[in-house]
Amino acid sequence: MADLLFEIGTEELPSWYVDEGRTALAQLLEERLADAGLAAERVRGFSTPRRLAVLAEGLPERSASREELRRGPAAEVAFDDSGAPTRAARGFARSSGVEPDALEIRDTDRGRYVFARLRRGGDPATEVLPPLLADLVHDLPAQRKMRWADVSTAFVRPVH
Amino acid sequence: MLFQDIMLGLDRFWADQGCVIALPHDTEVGAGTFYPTTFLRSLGSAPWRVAGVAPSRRPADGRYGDNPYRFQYFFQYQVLLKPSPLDVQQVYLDSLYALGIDPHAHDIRFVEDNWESPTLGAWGLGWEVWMDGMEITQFTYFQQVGGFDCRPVSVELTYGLERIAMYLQGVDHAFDVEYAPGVTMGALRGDFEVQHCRYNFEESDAELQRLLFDKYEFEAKRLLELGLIHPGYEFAMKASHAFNLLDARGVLSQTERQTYVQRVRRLSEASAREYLSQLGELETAPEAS
Repeated sequence: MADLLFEIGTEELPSWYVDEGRTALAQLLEERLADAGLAAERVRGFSTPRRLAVLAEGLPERSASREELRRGPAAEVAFDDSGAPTRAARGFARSSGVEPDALEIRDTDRGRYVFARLRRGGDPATEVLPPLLADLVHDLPAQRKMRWADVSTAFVRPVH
Repeated sequence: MLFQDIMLGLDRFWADQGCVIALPHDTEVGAGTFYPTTFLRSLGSAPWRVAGVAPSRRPADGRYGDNPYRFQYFFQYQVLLKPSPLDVQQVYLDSLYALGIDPHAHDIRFVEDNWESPTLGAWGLGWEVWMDGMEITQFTYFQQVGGFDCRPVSVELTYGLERIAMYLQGVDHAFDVEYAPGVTMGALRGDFEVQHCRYNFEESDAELQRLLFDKYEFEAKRLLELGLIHPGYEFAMKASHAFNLLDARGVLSQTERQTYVQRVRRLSEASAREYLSQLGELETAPEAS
């Protein structure tokens, strides 16, 4: 277990965003951590006129492992008459990072399809967090955002 | 500190920051933002830094010199930096030292202020800067100008010189500000202010201003179509001032007023479009929806 403190330093925020931004940041981080298999025990937001911050306590050091099924081509085009995988199946297996042998056929309400069983998660939090936190700055909701200098990010006021 | 020393101090400070010190433009404008060195130069990708005193006229703001803060003719100090420097807040605070103000000794606040100029097709976000509760500067990151998105973004700093001088000299009326040794602002500008107020509110010929507006508008369009941006935009500024005079005279209905605003805005947008076109950046300029 570990704690994460994330701060966004800004130029003076509009007064309405000091509260709104704090709540939004804590909420969004909580959601994104859960989605990434890094659910924290407790998430709290903080803010000042020039800073938004969020403290996530009790964070796992690795993201939770889970399996995910990825749907591929229809079963009838995935294997030839001899039962060998076709080009379509091999391509799907390669793009899913599994061997063609590991593909499974399952019935769905739209017919029989090939599926790949993917292992997700188990990644160190230190690898998952940097892109997750960068996206947090981009995606933080606000009524009105601005641009500054030649920076491509938009935020409520310039971020430093 | 004398009024003229405030202007000279800011000139020195901003020259040292790499600004061109531009002389006032000799067409009436409602604000320094109308200056071609701000309005046109904030468009396009080329870096640009300019500063200088921008005398401005807002006929409707005149009070015959009775109000200590409101005048139909006043001095802004206008700075435009493109792209906006990442440390521009600190640079701004440093500029206060040039006025003999130690920002550490005062309550300086950056209070949200969202600026929009319907006649320029421009808007931006930023702050009013307050010193001990009094607004002394407008600080704006331009987002759109002439209907085009600003890429990169410029920052505009506009100091209200009269009120800064009143504060520094401890006087209660801008006319009591000492402009040069032994010469007050009132001695320099009192008659001018009162007479122009009489003109703006009582004597200006509304029919003449309507006619002038139509002519200026026609000429602006004609010149812009010829690719003569600078003369064309100058006639757009003249049209804007004719509209401001009509507005001050109180002869425009609400609907009529809106129509005039839209007409000036179209001239501003046409000027911006022609300017970007001649820079070869019209295709890449993101047009605002």
